[in-house]
Amino acid sequence: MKVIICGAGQVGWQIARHLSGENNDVTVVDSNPELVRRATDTLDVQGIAGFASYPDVLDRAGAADADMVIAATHSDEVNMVTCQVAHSVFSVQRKIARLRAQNYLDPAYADLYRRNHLPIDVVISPEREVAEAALQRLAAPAAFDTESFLEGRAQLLGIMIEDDCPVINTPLRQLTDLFSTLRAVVVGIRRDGTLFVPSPGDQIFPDDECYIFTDTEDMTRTLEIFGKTQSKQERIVIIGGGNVGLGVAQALEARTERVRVKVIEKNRENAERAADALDRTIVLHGDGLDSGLLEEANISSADAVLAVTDDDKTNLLVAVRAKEMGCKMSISLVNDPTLVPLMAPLDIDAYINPRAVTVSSILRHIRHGRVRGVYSIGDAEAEVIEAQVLGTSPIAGQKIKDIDFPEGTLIGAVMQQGKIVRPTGETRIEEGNVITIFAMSEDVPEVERLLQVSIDFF
Amino acid sequence: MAWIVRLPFFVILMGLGAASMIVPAAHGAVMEDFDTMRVFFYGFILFSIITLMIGLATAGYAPRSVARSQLLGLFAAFTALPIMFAIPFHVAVGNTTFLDAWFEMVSSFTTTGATVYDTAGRLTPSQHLWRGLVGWLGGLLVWVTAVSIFAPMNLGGFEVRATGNANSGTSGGFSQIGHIADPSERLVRYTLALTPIYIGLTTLLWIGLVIAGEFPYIALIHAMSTLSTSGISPIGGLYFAASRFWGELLIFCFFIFALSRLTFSRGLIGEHERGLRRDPEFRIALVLIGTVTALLFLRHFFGAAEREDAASLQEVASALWGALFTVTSFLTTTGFESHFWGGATEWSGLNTPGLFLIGLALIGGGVATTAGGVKLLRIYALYRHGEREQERLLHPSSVGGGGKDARRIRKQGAYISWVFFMLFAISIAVVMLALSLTGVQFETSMVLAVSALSTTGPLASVAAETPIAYSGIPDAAKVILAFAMVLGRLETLAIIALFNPEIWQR
Repeated sequence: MKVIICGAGQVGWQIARHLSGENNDVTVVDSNPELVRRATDTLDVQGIAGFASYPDVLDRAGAADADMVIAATHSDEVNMVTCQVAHSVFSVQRKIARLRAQNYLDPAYADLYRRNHLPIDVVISPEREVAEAALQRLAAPAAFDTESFLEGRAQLLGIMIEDDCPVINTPLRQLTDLFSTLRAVVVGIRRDGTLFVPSPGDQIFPDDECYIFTDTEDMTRTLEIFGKTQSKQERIVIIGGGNVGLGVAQALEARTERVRVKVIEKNRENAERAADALDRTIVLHGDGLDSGLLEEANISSADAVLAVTDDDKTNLLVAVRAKEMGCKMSISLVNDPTLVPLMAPLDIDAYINPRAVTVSSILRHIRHGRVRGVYSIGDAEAEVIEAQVLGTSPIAGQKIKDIDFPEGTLIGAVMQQGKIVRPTGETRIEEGNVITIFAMSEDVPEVERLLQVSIDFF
Repeated sequence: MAWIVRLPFFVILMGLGAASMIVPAAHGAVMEDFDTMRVFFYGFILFSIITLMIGLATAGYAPRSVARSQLLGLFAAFTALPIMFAIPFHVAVGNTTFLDAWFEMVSSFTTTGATVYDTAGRLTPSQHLWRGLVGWLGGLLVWVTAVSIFAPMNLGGFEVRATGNANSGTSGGFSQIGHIADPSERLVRYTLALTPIYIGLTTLLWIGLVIAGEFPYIALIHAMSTLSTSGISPIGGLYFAASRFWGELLIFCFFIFALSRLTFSRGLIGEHERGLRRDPEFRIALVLIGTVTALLFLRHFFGAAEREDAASLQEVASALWGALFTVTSFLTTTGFESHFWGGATEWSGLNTPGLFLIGLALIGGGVATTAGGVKLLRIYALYRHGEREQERLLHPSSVGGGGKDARRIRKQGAYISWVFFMLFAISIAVVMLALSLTGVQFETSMVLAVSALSTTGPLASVAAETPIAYSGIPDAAKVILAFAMVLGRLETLAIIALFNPEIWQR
């Protein structure tokens, strides 16, 4: 597949790296020749230096026979125009644009991006994705890992089992009978460092790490059953009032239950912008590392602190300081992946890597076809694949018990006609259903064969 | 016609004033009040000729600063024009001093509506019409000048929302702006835009009142004094109006034009407005009217509860209406007293505190409307500022939201509002002191000072313990009050702006 990536910034670079690694014909366009040169040096890509929205530049980049354009420059407007030019002049089939300004993302104007208006197939908003990731982390403070599937209607939770868990030493089969209305499935257990897919006769022991697939509505109940009291997150302090912080604060404000949010922002203009956009939230102006200011934000009684400034080190230090001052939980935004190993020694509960979030959400759209999402568990030990069942697939029209799944796979959830169904042996998989499959890495190729996803799609 | 526009502002106003004398003359002719007709017609001829001569003499006059000349012209209009208005009035009334006539005209033209001719039958209908007309013209002048003169200079309430320096917004870097609207051009444009609205609204109210059963001539004066918030009435107040409740209801609806300028001059000034319902002035006016009415009503309610005999529902309703109408009328500095206002007192047996009304008149109506007082926008700025300061007690480093405008209002707006408020308070104190020096009693001088500065003439007869008659106060006090009215109408800041070195600079 021939892909043109406009903008060799962090996001563009990562996507170029991924796609070129998957044997695609990638061309990078950037107005900075230095960046382009380095991209062609390091990655297996072609490079064009120039202004991405100029038709002649796109022409030189080979837009005439390109399959896809990904516009990820700094400017929203350039990204939009690039997509328009790619569509109108070169008839490029798929156009993905990154748009940052929230004003462009208002659902009321979603019509704008239709084919006959401003043809953008997929609009990616990194800030929004990161804000969503942060909200996910906040929503399940008891879980060490979370990811949402099926348009956010099902959740994968990673839970550490404690000694006081009420369901330990019980076979999973029995759990299914006990909680017959609960739409949750234990899809993986890591015991003594090895991950395996449990069979119905397996039991859960203390110190196990369980991966559970649950309907989003049943999430609280699931966590309770596994001995995690979902403490209410009523007081949240957000450090950094940029787009991410503001997005999270707005989402929290929109919730029906009352959440007291305080935002700390260093830049006066940003602080004012945040204060204007928020209603009940208190915006404080100052350095988030200042303990006096943290005290003013009443950090000692806060349930969680979310450090989402653009500086990694500030985020880490703020998270540490907040914990030290009595905050119960800290989440930190980390751009630099090499800082991730520091999380445990610093006692930071969770982290968000915005680049990974954006890149994976772009990749999800690129992996066009039936695989909708891929989430990697642990150190690539297993994958959760969300896919739509094709008519040609061998599993279509069959009952789950009749499907010849490999040993290390388990179906987490099935979405039939917009409804989440808990899979049992009797559930019949129809064409068009969306299923999520937990598969150990060695079984992934077999799963892909079952889903009839040919390599062309990658 | 273009040369008329280029005449000094004051000369144009003088010409308009002279031309308007034809109205009472015509009315006198119709009413067979030939004495008045003759006097006003001669006045019309005399002053037209004088204006023409002055006009010819000043035709080539090119002021160094048009804005300053307009501000000066406005100041002169409120002080000197009443002399011209007073001359035919003085002659037509006959048995009065010229000072009284001048005071009457100042009070009318500044839309105060304080009258020394409070005995019934002292003036003929045509003379009453002249009072009402002068007040109406004053109101129109305020409408037009607020938008065309005060708004560009960031005065008269616009300073609260001002984005920057008054004269800094010149064409500096904008090469596409090849021509900046001349102040006199602006004046003409806004006059043409606003006058039809003003006349139309007055006519509408007039017709409405006539339909409600009012005598046409009284209805006309009431309509004119409602629109101009002068509160001038030929029959000693709305209390004696024939149209009763329906008339009051109509007038009540037209008070809205004194609460917010958005009701009539929307989009003229180039601000981005968010509609009347979200206009801070309008909202604060609603809150004020609501609370004060409720307070007054509750006070009467509990007063009535102490009495033995139960009140009928109609009594209660009329007391509520009386309170609502009178409160709104005084907030807009019109000063009409509802017919049912007295009913509230009778119902509960409690006297209605005039202090409420004094306070309301002090607050006043909206910016750039005919209302006087401190103006709602300034009250709003001060309120917002206070609210924000309380927030800052809890979170000293917090940042206030609400947008750029809201922040500006809370900071610079509240500051300048506070300056104005203090100037207003000082004005009251000074006027009171001066009145006391002429031998007026303390309480009387306070009510008079507030009524003059807030341009709410009828306040004197309603708010004080015993009604104060303007005819009874010394001549020196009348002069002081007349100047206080001009001060209240033009606002202290505008007069201070006249002394601004920038304006006098060569």
